[in-house]
Amino acid sequence: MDIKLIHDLSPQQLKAGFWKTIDGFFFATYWYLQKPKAYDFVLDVARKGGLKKAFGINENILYIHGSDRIVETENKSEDRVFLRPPLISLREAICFNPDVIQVMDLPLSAGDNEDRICEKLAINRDIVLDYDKWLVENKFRSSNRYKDGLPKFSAFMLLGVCHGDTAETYAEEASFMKRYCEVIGIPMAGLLVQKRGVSVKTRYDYALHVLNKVLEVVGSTRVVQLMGFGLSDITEAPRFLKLAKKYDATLWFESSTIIRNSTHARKILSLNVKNPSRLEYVNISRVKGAEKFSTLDVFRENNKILKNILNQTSLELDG
Amino acid sequence: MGEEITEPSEILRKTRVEVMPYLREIAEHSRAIIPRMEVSKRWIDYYEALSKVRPLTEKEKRRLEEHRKAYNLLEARREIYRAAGRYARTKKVPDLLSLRLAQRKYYAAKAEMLPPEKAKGFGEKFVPPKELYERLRKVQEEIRAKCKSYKEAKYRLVPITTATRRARMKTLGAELRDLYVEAYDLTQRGKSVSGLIEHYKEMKKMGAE
Repeated sequence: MDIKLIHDLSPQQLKAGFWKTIDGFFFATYWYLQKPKAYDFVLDVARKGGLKKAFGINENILYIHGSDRIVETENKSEDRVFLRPPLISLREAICFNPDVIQVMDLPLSAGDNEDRICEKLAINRDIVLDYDKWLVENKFRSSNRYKDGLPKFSAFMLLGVCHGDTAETYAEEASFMKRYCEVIGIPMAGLLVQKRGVSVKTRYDYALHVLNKVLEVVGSTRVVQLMGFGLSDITEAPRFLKLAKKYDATLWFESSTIIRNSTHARKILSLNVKNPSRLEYVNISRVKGAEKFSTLDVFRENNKILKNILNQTSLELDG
Repeated sequence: MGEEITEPSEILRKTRVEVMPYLREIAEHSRAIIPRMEVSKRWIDYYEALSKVRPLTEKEKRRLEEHRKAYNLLEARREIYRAAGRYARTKKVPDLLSLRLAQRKYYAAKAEMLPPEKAKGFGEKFVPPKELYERLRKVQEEIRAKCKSYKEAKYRLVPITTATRRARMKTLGAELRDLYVEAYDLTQRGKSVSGLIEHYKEMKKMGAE
């Protein structure tokens, strides 16, 4: 069993050194795509030999390059969806020279009927096939494959995102993705979003049910990335670790809550004085010795604490 | 404590003597990695020792760089073989990750071995054309502007009174759709969205998973 914390970092944060002392980071396209000089940025990074070299990032830090997501527009309607041609996105990702490339995907929405869901899943599968084919044609992957479908040589790993309306659909998508992708992504944010009348426990129960179904298919042969799973409720972490231990799985958490609390709110993960069994994010002004912490200090401290909690929990599970 | 050699000719002689057995090994096994690494390592040591005696010439600097690149490439290749062997035995995720990372490093090391003019093309070859970014930005802005008026029409609180505005609203949806199609089709080589669905249905009929 292996657990990694992947943080969603911006170019400014990369420049400021947020990448030090972390397992890996996720770099999304929206940081530069909507800027007027997007082309210049991409060209500059390509000339320097990739994002890691351009920002002087250590080679051992895992770098996941994201794909296009919904573009923020002034209104919040369905018309916000704006995707580029997938292969153009792939070409651009290659210029950044990442370790893992996220395959572009169409997310499901609440109003989709069964036909629409099938169409979207079909498109997602075709994009995965197109990515794989393009990489083979351009000699980034070998056509020679292992029995389980993965190529014997690949300069980049692929992250295939599994969508679905039921837990079984997620599992079915995962069984397809695992033939082409080294990392299987499950979008968790939608499963855990606050809904009226549905308790936190019920939401987490369902998320665990989905993860269980996927791990039944994937097991310990592929990495499972919980996308948008911010670890906002740390008390639920042991349940995920227990499940990972059962299948000897490798889980990557996208711990967006840390970034949000560190950079925007300047809150540190600490024990509640009145209720010592409870962990929560507290403003630095209320934590002794942390009053003068910079954003970077807060982030590093939170990352360290969370990593320690996860390690300790997994050790307790072993014991 | 051993006395350090300071004569360039003596360092060269020592290096040649040390390299000789590895060259014999390479002659016997042409694909051997470790002897090649040892040879590169000896020559790197030679140039580094020489640089302490006198400044290196341009040619010597170039040779040192070549040996360094070759050493990195060979090291990356050896790491691939190790990781591939481990993954073939275990089929576990950590071994798969180390294999892929080793392969990525090998690819990067190989790219550095290219001559400068080819390496330049290698880095920039896959950058999407500039026109695409500009066009995408323009289409994006148009869609945003149209979406705003589309939403105004969809969720309007007062009826549209003027005839011109009503006519405009009728055509807006079609224009918006065309823009989306254009945004998708920009430099797209291959299938459209509906084409992808049809292709998938056909594959299903043929019995593909």
